[in-house]
Parts: sequence; C-alpha cells; structure tokens
Amino acid sequence: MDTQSNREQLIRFLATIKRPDLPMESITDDDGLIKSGLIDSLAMLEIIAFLESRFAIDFSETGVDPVELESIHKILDLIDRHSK
Amino acid sequence: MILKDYYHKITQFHESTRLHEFSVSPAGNFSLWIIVSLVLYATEYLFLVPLMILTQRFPSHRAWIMAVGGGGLFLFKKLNQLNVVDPFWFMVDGVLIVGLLYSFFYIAKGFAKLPRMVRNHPQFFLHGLLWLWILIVLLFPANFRRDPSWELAANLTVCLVFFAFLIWRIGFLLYSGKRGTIKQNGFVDHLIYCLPYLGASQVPYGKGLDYFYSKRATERLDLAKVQLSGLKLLVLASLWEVALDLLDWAFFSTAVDAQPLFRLHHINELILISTSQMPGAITVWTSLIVDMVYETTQLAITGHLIIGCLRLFGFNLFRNTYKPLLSKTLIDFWNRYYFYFKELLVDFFFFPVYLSFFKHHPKWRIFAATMASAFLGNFYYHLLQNFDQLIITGKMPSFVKFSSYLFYCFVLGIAIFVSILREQSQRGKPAVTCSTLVTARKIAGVWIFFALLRIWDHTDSAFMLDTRFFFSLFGIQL
Repeated sequence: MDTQSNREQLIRFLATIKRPDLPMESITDDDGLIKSGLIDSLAMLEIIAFLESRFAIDFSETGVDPVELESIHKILDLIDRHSK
Repeated sequence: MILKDYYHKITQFHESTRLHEFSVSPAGNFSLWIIVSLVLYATEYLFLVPLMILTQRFPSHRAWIMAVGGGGLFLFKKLNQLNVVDPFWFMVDGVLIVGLLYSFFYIAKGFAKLPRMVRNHPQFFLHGLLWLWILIVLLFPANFRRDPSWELAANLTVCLVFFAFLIWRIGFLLYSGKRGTIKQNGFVDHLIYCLPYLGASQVPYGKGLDYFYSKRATERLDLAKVQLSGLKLLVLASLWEVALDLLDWAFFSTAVDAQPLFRLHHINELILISTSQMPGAITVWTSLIVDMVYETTQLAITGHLIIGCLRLFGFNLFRNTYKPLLSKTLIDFWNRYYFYFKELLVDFFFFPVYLSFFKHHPKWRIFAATMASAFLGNFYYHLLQNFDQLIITGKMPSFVKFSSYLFYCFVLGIAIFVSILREQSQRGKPAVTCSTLVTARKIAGVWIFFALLRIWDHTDSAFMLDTRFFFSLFGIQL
C-alpha cells in the first residue's frame, strides 16, 4: 500500500476517535494530535490497536515510543518503516 | 472582556513575539537571567543559573555542561546527605556510579547483540540485577553501617542506594538501546537525565533522552520562547509558595503565638486523633479537602521548579502538574497531577502489558494494563523507594504501611479503569456543553475521591487505623 492510501485510512480512523467539535481539517500532518486537542491521550491506545490490526505492526518487539505517534506524519513514517 | 484580554496577556506573556525578540537582545537576555536569579534566589536551584547561561552561550556543548556541572553538584549533594565524609570513598563512589551508568550505556549500545531473553525483557534483567545486589547487601552483618572497618560494604551499599535511585532512568537508557536511538548520541548526553540533580525523587522528570531531545529548542528565537515559558513556571512556583504560606497561616499553623484562623489538620494528624477528641464533621471533611489541595500545590511547586529549570536549559518539556484541581474525571486528574510519575508507570508497566496480553479483548486489555501500572507498578515503585530507606537506615519498613499503600494502589487502579471506560464510551459522541453547576459537581467528585483515597497514603499510614478513620467519616465505628 502506498503512503497516500495509508494516509486516507489513518485519517478515516482518526475521524472516528477525534473530539467531535474539532474538524480533521483543523490540523496539518505535522501538528501534534494530542497537543492540538484533536484526540486525548487515551485515544493513543486506540491508535495502537488500529496500527496492530490494520498494518500488523507488532509493538511488543519495539515497545511504544509516544513521540512516534505524535502526529499524522510521524505515524505514517512508522507505518512506512514497518512495511519495508 | 478587556479584563479577560489583560489576564490572557499577562498569563501568556511567554507567547509574545515582541518579548521573544527582546529576550534575544543583550539587554533582554541580561534582564532574563537577573529575573531568573531573583526568582530562584531562595531555592536550591540557584546554582544552576551559571550552567543555564553557559548552555545558552555554547549550545553545542549543552550536554557536557549539564552533565558534568550538574552531575558533579548532584553527587556532592547526595553524598552529603548520606554522611559520607571520607574524600577517598567520595571519589570511589563517584567513579562507581558513573561506571555503573557507563556499563548500562555500553550494554544498551550493544543491545542487538544481547541474549534474546535480555533483549525481550530488558527491564526484568535490570530489576533482576538490582534485587540480586539487594540480596547480597542484606546478607551483610547488621552492624556494618556503624563499623568503620567495613568501608567496602558500606560503600557498596551507598552505590546500591544510587542504583535503586537511578533504576528508572537506567530503564529509559535500555529503552533507547531497544529502539536503536542510543547510537545517535554519546554517553554524556544520557547523563543529562541519568544524573538527576534536578529531581529529588526516583521519577525522571523529562523521561529518557529520546523524549528530551524531541523537545529541544534549536533556533535562538525558539530557545527564547522556551526560556520564557520556563520563567513563567518559576514565577508560578513562587506564587504557589505564597498560596501555601497562606494555607499554613489560615489553617495549619502550629506556632504558639500564631493561632490559625480556622484550625484544620493534615491527614496524618487526623488519623492519630482519638475518637473522643475528633473535631466535628465539617472540620474533618474540610481538612481532608484542604490537605489534598495543599499536597497538590506542594507537588506543583516542585514540578514547576524542575521543569522551569529544564526549559531554561532549552528543553520544552511538558509540565509535571497541569491544573489537576480543574479535572472533571479521575483519569484526567491522574494525567495532570504528577505527569512524569504517570509516564513512568505507562512506559514501564502499562504499555508492556497492553502490548503483550488480551490483544483481542479490548476491555480486558485495558484492565490488565491499568492494574499493572496504577496498582502493581505504583506499589512496586514505592516498595523500591522504601528499600532505599532500608539500606540507608537499616530499618525494615513495616508491612502495616505497605498494606495500606497496597490498598490505595488497588482502589486507584480500579477507579482509573472505570474512568477510562467511561471516557471511551463518550468518544465520538457530540460534545455536550455542561452548565457551570454540572462542571462544579464533576470537579467536586474528583476532589472528594482523591481526598478520601489519600487516607491510605500518608506518612503514618497503617491499614487498620486508616480504614477505621475512613468508616468513622460516615458514622461507622469499627
């Protein structure tokens, strides 16, 4: 899958867990997801579960580095690294 | 509206672009350090100001300045606390501690070559080593702390105290090894957080180097902004100091010639008051709430001073305490009250369990991870902290105290789990604007929960005594 397709899937998923009063368009790919208020820190758990199930990323090998999940851009980088 | 604007301008002064620009000018920079020195004047952090100025002047040597300067001061302060006066052993201890850290840095650097078992469970390996060392020290004769001929044993014990103190920081070092990021930096960079001259407890403020460096200001204007936000925290810490003095004056003063306006009691005093002398219900309940606010303010002061200083060094770290008393849910309070302790529990207990168990059962997965962190991890952290005391003083902490804290952690774990589920069930639903009254009710609920929970977490905790007091609040005498 290419980055564009991954991005679309990720955005669709984030739209299901984000704060309802903030539109997805309110942030850029480099904005912090939690810092911008789009999601809360608990939603991080759901992002992890999403990445495990959709992209077969096994975090138990590497552990979770919250910095890698900070923004859409960083999550896409993580997906790219794992798909190589 | 105008008042609101002024309030915003004053409280958010660190966001002002004009102030950033002024701060990088020679006059602005000079003023910044003068104000920082004045704010830190009465604190133990004043000695850090020259190091902060040096790091700003020579940013490429930031790690060296912080590690060598700060590390030396940390060792000096800590060893002084332990009454080690012999210069020879002072040097030996210093070398042993830095050697210990370097050994773990070396291990982490060669992480890929470690045995599979260690690679899979680096934290088990680390804590296994600590407990092995603790067992060895416990085998020493009981009087070795007072016997001058047992210098080696005494100093091995001092190093063990440091090992226990530094263990969570070393844990972050091993995580860097596991992620492969350790190769990007040298040993000295890791000393920034490994030598915790800015933290009085085992909790690493700022976590590991990966986190530290992800928050590093690189441009001069960015640095000015981060430094001003650091100054803001220092000013806030000073204001909270004044608030604490006011609380002392109004409620807790014990001086003979300065009776408080309205006598309240700290939680550890309340527990020890006999039933016949127990003050009225209003005093007792007010004491519980005010004491919770008092303790939260104390924690905010410590955290603001430490994070404020780290920001002045150029690291834009999250606050340790961020308006916890305005939290509307338990999980929110837990996130905002003591951020870096919560992060420690998340990194070392929550995520390892969350990633390894019940992957196809979301609720069980969260339950197991929450209990592993807020309950077991929290308890284990405090157990280690008390072993630190055992080794220094030779006094075995009583099981009674531990049982009280065990109960505290258990209730906390369950409460956080329930709070997480409630939060998750609200996700995706349209936001509901709460009335002021509903918001106040939610905040009051959080205050009451944590004020009551603290009954099992204070300096003189004893499970039966604490539990008896809890029931007496509702008129039930056990």
